[in-house]
Amino acid sequence: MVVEEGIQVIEDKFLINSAILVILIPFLTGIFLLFLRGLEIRNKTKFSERLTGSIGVAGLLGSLINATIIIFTYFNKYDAKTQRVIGDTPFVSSAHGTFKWGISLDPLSVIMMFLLAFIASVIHFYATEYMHGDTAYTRFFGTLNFFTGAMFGFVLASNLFMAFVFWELLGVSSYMLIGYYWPKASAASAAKKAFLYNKIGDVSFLVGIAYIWQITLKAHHPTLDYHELTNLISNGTISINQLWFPGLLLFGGAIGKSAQLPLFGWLPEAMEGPTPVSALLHSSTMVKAGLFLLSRIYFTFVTVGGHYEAFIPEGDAALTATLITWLGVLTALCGALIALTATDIKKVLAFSTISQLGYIGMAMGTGQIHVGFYHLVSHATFKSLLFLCAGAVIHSVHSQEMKDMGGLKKYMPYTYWTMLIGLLGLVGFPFITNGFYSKDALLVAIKNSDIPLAGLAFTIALITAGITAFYSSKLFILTFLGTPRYDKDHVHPHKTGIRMRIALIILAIAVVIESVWWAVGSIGGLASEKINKSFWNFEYRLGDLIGIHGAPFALIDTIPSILAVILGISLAFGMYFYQIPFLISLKEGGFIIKLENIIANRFGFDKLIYVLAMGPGMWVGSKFRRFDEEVIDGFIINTVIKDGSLKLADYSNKLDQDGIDGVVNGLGDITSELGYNLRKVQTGQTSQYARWMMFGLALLLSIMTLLYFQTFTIK
Amino acid sequence: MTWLPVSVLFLGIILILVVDLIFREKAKVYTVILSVLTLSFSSLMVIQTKGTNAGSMFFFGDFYVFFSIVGLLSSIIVVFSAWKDYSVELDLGVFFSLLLLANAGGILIAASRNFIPLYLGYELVSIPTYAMIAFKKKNRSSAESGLKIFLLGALSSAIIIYGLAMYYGATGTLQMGGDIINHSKTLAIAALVLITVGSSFKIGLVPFHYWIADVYSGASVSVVNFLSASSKKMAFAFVFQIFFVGMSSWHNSYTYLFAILATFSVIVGNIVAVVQDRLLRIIAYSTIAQAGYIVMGIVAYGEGNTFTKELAMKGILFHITAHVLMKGAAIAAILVVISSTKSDHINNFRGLFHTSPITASALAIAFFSLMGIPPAAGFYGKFFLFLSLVEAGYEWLALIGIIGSAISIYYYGKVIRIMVDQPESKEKLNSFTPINVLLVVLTILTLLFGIFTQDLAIIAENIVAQNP
Repeated sequence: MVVEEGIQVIEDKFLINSAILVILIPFLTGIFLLFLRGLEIRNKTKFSERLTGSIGVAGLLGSLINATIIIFTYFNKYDAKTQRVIGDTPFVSSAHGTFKWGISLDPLSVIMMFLLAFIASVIHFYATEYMHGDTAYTRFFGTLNFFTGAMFGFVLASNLFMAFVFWELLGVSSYMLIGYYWPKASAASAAKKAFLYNKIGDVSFLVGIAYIWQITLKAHHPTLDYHELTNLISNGTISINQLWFPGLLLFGGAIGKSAQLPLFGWLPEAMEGPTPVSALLHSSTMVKAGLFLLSRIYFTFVTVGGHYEAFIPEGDAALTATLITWLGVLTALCGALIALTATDIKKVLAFSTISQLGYIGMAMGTGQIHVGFYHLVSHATFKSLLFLCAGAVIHSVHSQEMKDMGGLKKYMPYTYWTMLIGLLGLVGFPFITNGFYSKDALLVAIKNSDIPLAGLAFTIALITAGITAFYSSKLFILTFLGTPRYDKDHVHPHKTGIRMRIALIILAIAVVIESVWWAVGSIGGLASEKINKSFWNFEYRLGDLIGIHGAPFALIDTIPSILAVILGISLAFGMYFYQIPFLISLKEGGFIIKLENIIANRFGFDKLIYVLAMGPGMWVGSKFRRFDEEVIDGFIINTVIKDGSLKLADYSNKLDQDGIDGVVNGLGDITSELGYNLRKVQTGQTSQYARWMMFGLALLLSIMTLLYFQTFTIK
Repeated sequence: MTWLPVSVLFLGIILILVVDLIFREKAKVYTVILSVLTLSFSSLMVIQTKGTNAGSMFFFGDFYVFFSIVGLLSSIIVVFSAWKDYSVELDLGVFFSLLLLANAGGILIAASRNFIPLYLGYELVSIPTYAMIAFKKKNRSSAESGLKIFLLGALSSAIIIYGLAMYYGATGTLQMGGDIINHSKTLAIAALVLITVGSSFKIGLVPFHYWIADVYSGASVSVVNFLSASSKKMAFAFVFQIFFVGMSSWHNSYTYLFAILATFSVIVGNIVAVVQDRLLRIIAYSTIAQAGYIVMGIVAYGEGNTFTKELAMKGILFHITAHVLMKGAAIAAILVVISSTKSDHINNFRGLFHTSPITASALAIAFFSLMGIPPAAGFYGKFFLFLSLVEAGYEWLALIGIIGSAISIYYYGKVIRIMVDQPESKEKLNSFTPINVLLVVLTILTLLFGIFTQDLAIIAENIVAQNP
């Protein structure tokens, strides 16, 4: 069962430096833009959008260029199957092992990095027009750059410690982006919700890391590196029976970030952010981080090796894999069902993301990491396209409700065609789309897996595919076909702007390229063994590179999913386009309405979480609130702080006004001037004092680490 | 036997609370007498328990004796000023019991050889201090100061705890004087800086000094006396324990840090004091500068050989003792003025020599001592501190100290000049005999400090010999 046998670690300064640049450039431009925003606020001006937008896009383009260099160099120069480029720098070292910053370039991280750089660049470009006229344009690009940089750091990290740091940065910056329109109450609450839901996962993640550290420490080989951990497992130092529980905890982190059941409630609310943010969040950052993490730590829940199989381990250790798979299956179904009832165009797409994430999680749970990754790539491409299209539509009709749209085909031809391409991918339209091949691989993976009740899981996944086809068609019909339903006096749908159009076309082309690629690999692979083993067959090749093999593509396996998709599409067209009376009466049946109600309440998961969190939480809270009202508000805030600081302010004012004259007259003016200025720092505000303390701490730490580190010797 | 001093304190606390409960309004004098008795008796017990053996976590040497007794006896000054200051408040007993509790923490600090009891002692000093600062809870500025120091103190405690965790990571032990395990250099640096920052807050070094000015001018004067004379010494004991014993083998790393902090403290403290026009604020900033001088002793101690170490330790002990005397006297004198005029503004001291000669002379002599003019107590400490710095090769730091002292002459002299001026009204100040007695005793001790230097020097040499 040796996975990483004979893996060779290469040191390549050039590649590592380029990878560092990939992370650093968007971070630096992001921070620079936020700094500019600070200047804007202080001077009450606004820098030109051309300038700040260009900086934002340039940051991502810098990453894209470096990512392109890396992906070509890595796959040409090295044998990706046996060689990994890793560069580590020790951060905190102790006798018990070292925490490191490190870059790891291996097939998964390099492909993910390139995909992210590409999609994020396009989205940034799109946003330069979409966000036009926004008052906080600079802040938007600053945070978006920062956000993308955090994801780059997470993807390229070579160990769990660094991954966690960037994971948290992702959390923080997503909070800022979701709450971008913070004066709106719903946006502020959505940001809070996203943050708290994610926080639950984060805690689990952190405990899992500590657990793994302890296990490896006991094995006298303390490490958090993905690479070294796989080595430890393959040479038998630690066994999967020790790791399944920490693996489960790490998966807890993935549940939060990747919106699996039951923590998916935050993702639809995250629609409160601007559309480009949703596009980025749903395609290649944030929600994919959890799944990417799963593909990084797969050694904790499956034993992989041999051909056509990934083994679910025996005994207790099987629990994690089973849980991941089944949660994935259920998430896929629930997401799809809720998407059926949603009426807001962005919400439909959001729930469809949840459903697709469930699919990917399901595949990863069975151990077929490469299959999950395969669909992850397809999904990232078409979902970013779909969101940008939705953004264009919303931009045009000024509403997110599908009931206000309809008949937009003739006003927005570009959006119409690009959205069609994206939706075909999402549906998995037989033989011509990327979604078809990757979804088929997923279904085969679940069918062949040895998790309990695999047959049932397969059936559910198949039904989900049908539902996906149905709601996608519904979205398409309600938006572009039929008769216009928007308020014609006030809304005049216009063509999408030039920059937005370019972005849409680029992404549509990407979807088409992927579709052709996947099709050539799968269909061509049937005909010729040579194509089957070449890079054209993305799934096979990726599995080969990371040492996992799944079942090959076979036409017979595609029949059920083709049937499900066709059924879904025809039902939707019958119901919404041709409006066949029988189908409509079916829709309005009592049972369906009841079901819809349950679904629209998201199966009560949100409510359950509220009850769980708020029951005890509110009880404790109410006690604290009483304390707060009576003691803190009543006495300390009102009496002490409010009046106290007013008085203090008065006093300082007086002190300032009748100032130095008459008191200082001996020693030179310079001393007193200096003293006077120093005294101004003494404002009487505790938070400011604390800030100065932390400033002092940071100053001393940097002096000690930067200047004094070398000479620090201890006898 | 070993913990008799602390037992005495606890017994005193119980007695005071009971007496307070029984006699209510008449209890004031009894609680004062009880407190003074408890403190003196506890000091005796400290001398008795010197040299007893209590396992590896504690060490009852000269350091323990000196700092326990300084804390206990300086608390007597606090008792006297509180007697006057809180004359209208009823629950003086509670105040005294908090004071005794803080002293128990001080003893714990001075006796520790392990970071756990050391930190416990530190918190045992801090928490009663917060309560004492906010003691006049109806008084806004007092409550505000209490909240302020509580919040910032909690922050600094958190930083210290974090640093101790790093220390444990770097050495694998919480016993003081642990050696750094291989490859743990980074952790050691983190431990060093975090602990330094956390404890710098307590002793009020720049830039962690902000609470001092606000709390000194906001809290009631007897608490300021406690902060300045008593609790500050316990905080110094804490710092010395950490750096002289706990990190004794890391000395070539912390001297540098403290040289920076001392420079900032002496310069900022003295310069900002120049523009203050309230006496308590002047005292507050001069306290920051004085802390800077004492920290210079840490620099010299860390850098030097045994001879330099002895010089530095002598300087530290002299300065700490002198500081108790001169600050105690100065604040008690300010208390007398405030209780009559309700403000510590500098104009209220105009002509003090004419209206209240005892108060004015005590204040003037305390200020001369703070300037460092012989033969007053402040001179000896500064002299030895600067001497040890020169021995250790830190001439530039000694120069900064001297410049700081020169600046300080200006703002102390300004006050003395104003006191000599003709008063605006000939009204006598309310005088309070116990405070006058206290002032006279402190002044005499300040002037005759030279006779004790020999004994203190022997203690200093013993401490250096007993430190690892």
